[in-house]
This record gives sequence, structure tokens and C-alpha cells, in this order.
Amino acid sequence: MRAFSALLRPVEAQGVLTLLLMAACILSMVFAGMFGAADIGFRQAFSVYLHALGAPLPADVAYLDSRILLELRLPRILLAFVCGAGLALSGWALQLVTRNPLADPYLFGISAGASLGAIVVLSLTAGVGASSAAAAAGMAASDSWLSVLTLPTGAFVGASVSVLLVLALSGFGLQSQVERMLLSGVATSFLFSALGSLVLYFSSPQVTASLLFWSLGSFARAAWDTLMVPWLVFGLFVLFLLINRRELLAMSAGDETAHSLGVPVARLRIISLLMCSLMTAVLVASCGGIGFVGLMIPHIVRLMFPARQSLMIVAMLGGLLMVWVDVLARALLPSQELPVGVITAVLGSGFFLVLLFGRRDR
Amino acid sequence: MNTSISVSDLCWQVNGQPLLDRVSFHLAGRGMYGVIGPNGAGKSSLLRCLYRFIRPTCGEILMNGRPLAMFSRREFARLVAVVPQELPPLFELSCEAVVAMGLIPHKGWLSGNNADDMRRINTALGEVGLEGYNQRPFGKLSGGEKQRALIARALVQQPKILILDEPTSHLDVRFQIEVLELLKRLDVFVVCTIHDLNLASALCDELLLLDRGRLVAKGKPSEVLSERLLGEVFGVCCTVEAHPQHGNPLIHYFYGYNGTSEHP
Repeated sequence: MRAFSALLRPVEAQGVLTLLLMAACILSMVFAGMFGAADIGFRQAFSVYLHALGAPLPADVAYLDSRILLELRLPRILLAFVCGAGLALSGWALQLVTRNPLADPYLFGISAGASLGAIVVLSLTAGVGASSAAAAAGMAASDSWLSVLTLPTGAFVGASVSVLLVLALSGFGLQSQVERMLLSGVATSFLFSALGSLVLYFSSPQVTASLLFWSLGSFARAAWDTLMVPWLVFGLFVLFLLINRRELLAMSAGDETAHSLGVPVARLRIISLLMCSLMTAVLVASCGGIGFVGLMIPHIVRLMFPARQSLMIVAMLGGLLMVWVDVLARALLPSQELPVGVITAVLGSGFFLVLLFGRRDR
Repeated sequence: MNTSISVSDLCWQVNGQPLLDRVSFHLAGRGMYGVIGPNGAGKSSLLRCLYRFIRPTCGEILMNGRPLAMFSRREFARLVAVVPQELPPLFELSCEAVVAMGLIPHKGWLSGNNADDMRRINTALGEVGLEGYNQRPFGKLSGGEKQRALIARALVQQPKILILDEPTSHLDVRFQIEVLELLKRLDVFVVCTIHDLNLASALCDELLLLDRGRLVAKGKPSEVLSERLLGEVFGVCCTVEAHPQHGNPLIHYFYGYNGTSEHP
């Protein structure tokens, strides 16, 4: 055993770990494709994916099954993955940059801002829809083409406004930048949720119900054409983090240390905040405010693989978790979907209790 | 080219309060330069001006004859490495990851650590007596080990000038001596603040004595550490004699400031 671990030098061990996680990601895509109303076996799911890559479709796979898998389930799995990976990386980067272990992607009022944007859009479209016959069915208002077009946009605009407000409040200087950012984040958060509650108070119950459904998070809207933006932003975000990974790590060792290593501390902190916010805002807009993943995954990576802060590991673990949470959301109840946000919240609180009692034992 | 730092008329004010007041000096050649003075004398502020963390209100600093503002971030980080006094609690980073931070000014976008870098990291760890500590979590090291790992990080940076703020605080006597001897042995230009005057006397080539933001004395330990100056600046009574080993001043303090014991 010792010879074995000596063989696995740290760098190679990280490579092995990354490869294992990659394999797990691919297998999860196949497994997660098996859950749902239509029964699709592992081998069939696998051959459908191969078919999508150019291989001929075997005779025993129904055409309908392959359509269900490729048009409905795969986009959903890919959306869940990018959501988990993006939130986890965003939390990881913000924790380093603010040196705050409790930092998460919603730290700067993003979720409150996005909710406000969503509420405004829902109220407006409900008002417009009220005159049309389509809105008579209540919830239908949120499924009309108008809302599909604007709910994510509204959430994105709301999130962006809140982040820009935080930046404007905290200024661009280096002096106690972190503290000012955190406090303006809290202030903005409260302000926007107050405004949101106010608008909600004067709107119809339908809007409240739609908002609740949206804010608990769901990947049900996933489709190939809505996947483009999240994955594009995710790619940019990963590239940004890869380029700056040394500098971000140095910032966790303090502003003075990072400064003395030639890192433009104040500027990099603001750019990181903007990048994390862009990623989070896009994700919130497309699948709602899903909590705890951005907070939890970086801690899990630190606990499980101490001293090995590879961002690939963070991203893949986040993505994997979300894919399986979505499977749970689809499979736990026989004929109904559970909100994703509820499951991550339960996992998250359980995780922190384990952390709490684990610490006490040490 | 010979390494040099020259400071002329350096002032730094916060809310109209001068923390550094017209400080001027010139240091040249490899050596160990100690900055001493009572609490609040402006020692850390002086160092922060030297490593460009704060921009002085007035005055000029030249390093190797070049004004500080003329260096790019990267150039400056290759010239000057800093070991600050305190670190925030680090996330679970390995010793190696902390030391590898010193590579930042030498690394381009996306480039990983190659065999050469690993050799440099291991050499630096060896030099500070932490061979084989690569995978140890930095947070679990003792105070002395942390301090030495941070010095290793600074060495990986390959600077011409090394600036340390209180490198011996939190260390027991043996590690205080070890760390300072290590710095002396390294053969780089070292500027550090030291609280323990006898330690400064024994191991520094030259001392800068600060008092309320002004430079009061500069010179060899035997020139700076006089009974009169120590009395004036630190407000203590002492006698100074030659140390039996190295001949530099050895300070004996007199105790009792409540008027209960006899002053000489």
C-alpha cells in the first residue's frame, strides 16, 4: 500500500483523480439519462449517445427513446452540470478573493437582485396576459412565450444591477476593500429583497406562485437553444480562472503578500467579482436561485483533497452533484418533480452539521 | 550592478498625522539592515513604502538608482520580495503551494510548474531547513516553521532585496537566532524590522533607529545603540557593554519604573 501511494506522486495523483472524475462525469451523463417517465436502459442510453456522436443506431433502440434522451434529457443534464460547476467555481473564487470561508455566489445580492427582476417581469407579463384569454388558467401566464422570453432576461438584469450597485458602493480603492464589498453586498441584498417583497405584495397570487416555483430552482426549462449562453459564459469563466489561478491563490494569503508578488490586487478582485457575478447571473436566470452548492463544494474539495485546490476538481464535483440532485428531484416522487433548491438546501445543512460535529471531535 | 536603496525626504501622513517625517538614508551593498524603534515609530510604514504597498505623501525612493514608480509590477516583484508580519488564516494549502506562490512574477499565463520550478521550490525549502515538508498543510505548521516557509517563498521569488516585517516575532530564542542567521547567510540585501535590540545588535550590519516617524540614528550597532540614545528614544535605563562573542553592544536593562527601585 505504501509503495502504491509512493508511486502516486502528488502531481500524478491529481491527474488520476481528475481522470476518475471525468470518467464519473461521462458515466453520470449515461446513468442520469435513464431516469424519467420513459424507461431507457443503460446500454440503450449509451448507444444513443454514441449515435449522437456519429455511430449507427442499433436496431433494438426505439427512435422515440433516442429523441427523448437527446432532445429532453441530455439538455437538462448538461444544464444541471454547468449550473453545478459554475456555482461551485464561483464560490471557490469568491472565497479566495474575499478570504471569507462563508462567501458564496449570492454574496453580493445577486439572488435578491435576480428575484426582483423576475418579480417585475412576472408582474408585468401577468398584467399584459390578464387581458388575454391565455392568462385565465393562472400559472399559464408564466408559460406564455412572453414570459419565456423575458423571465431569464429580467433575472439577469436584476442580478447585474445589484452587482453594479455593490461595486459602486464599495469603491475601487484597496483600503479595506473586502469589508466594504461584504457590507455593501448585505445592504444591497436587503434593499432588493425589500423592493421585491413590496412588488410581490401588490401582485396577484399567480405571480407569487410562479416566483416561488422559479426561485426554488428547476432544470425543466432546459433545451438546446437555452444551453448556449450558460456554457459559453462557463467556458470564458474557466479560462479566466485558469489564467489567474496563481494570483487568486496568492490573494488568499493577504493583500500585502499578493501585492508583493506583483498581483494587481484591487483590480483583480473587482474583475473576479464581475466574472463570478456574470456566471451566477446567467445561471440564476436560466435555472433559478439554487443555494448551497457554491458554498459547499469548495469546502468539500478542501476537506477531501487538502492542499490540492484544482479548479477542475471543484468544477467537476459541482457538476456531478447537481446532475445527481436533479436525478433525485425527478425520481424521488413517482409523478411529480421536487424543486432542486430544496434538495441542495437539505444536503447543505446536513453537510454543515457534519462539518460542525467533525470539527468538535478533533 | 550593486544593490542600493536611497530614500530622500520621505513623508507619510494619515489624516494630517505624520507617521513618517522627512526620512532620508542611503543603503548600498549586500548586507543586513535592521530597522529598530519603539512601537508606533513608523517601522512598518517605512517598510510598506519601500515595497510600494503605500504611496508616500512626499519624498522619493530609489532602488538601484531608479524611482519606485518606474518599475512594472512584475519587475518590482522580481527585485523585491516581502515577508509580511501577519498572514490571514490560509485555506488548506500545502507548504509547497505556499512556497510556489513565489513563482508568480516568473510565470506567464497558463504555465504550470515544471521540473526546474520544483527544483527551485525544493532548494528553497532545504535552505530554510524544511526538506520534505512539501505536502504538509501550511496551517498545521508551528510558528517558526511558518515563518521559515514564508522565507522560502520569498527565496523562490529570487529577489535582490528581501524585506521582512518582524521576522522574529512569535519565535522562541533559538528560532529567532536561526531565522536571522539564515537571512545573513543568504547573501541578499535584507531590510527587516526587529524588536529585540540585542538580537539586532548581534546580527545586523547596520541599524536605522526610528522615533515618532523620524530617523534618529543610522550606523553600525556600536554607533546607534548608545545608552543616551536608548534612554531618549525608548525611555529605558540601561548600560551597554561589548558582547563577549562578537564585540557588538550588549544591552543590560534596569527594571522598575514605578520609582520602587534605584536608577543609576
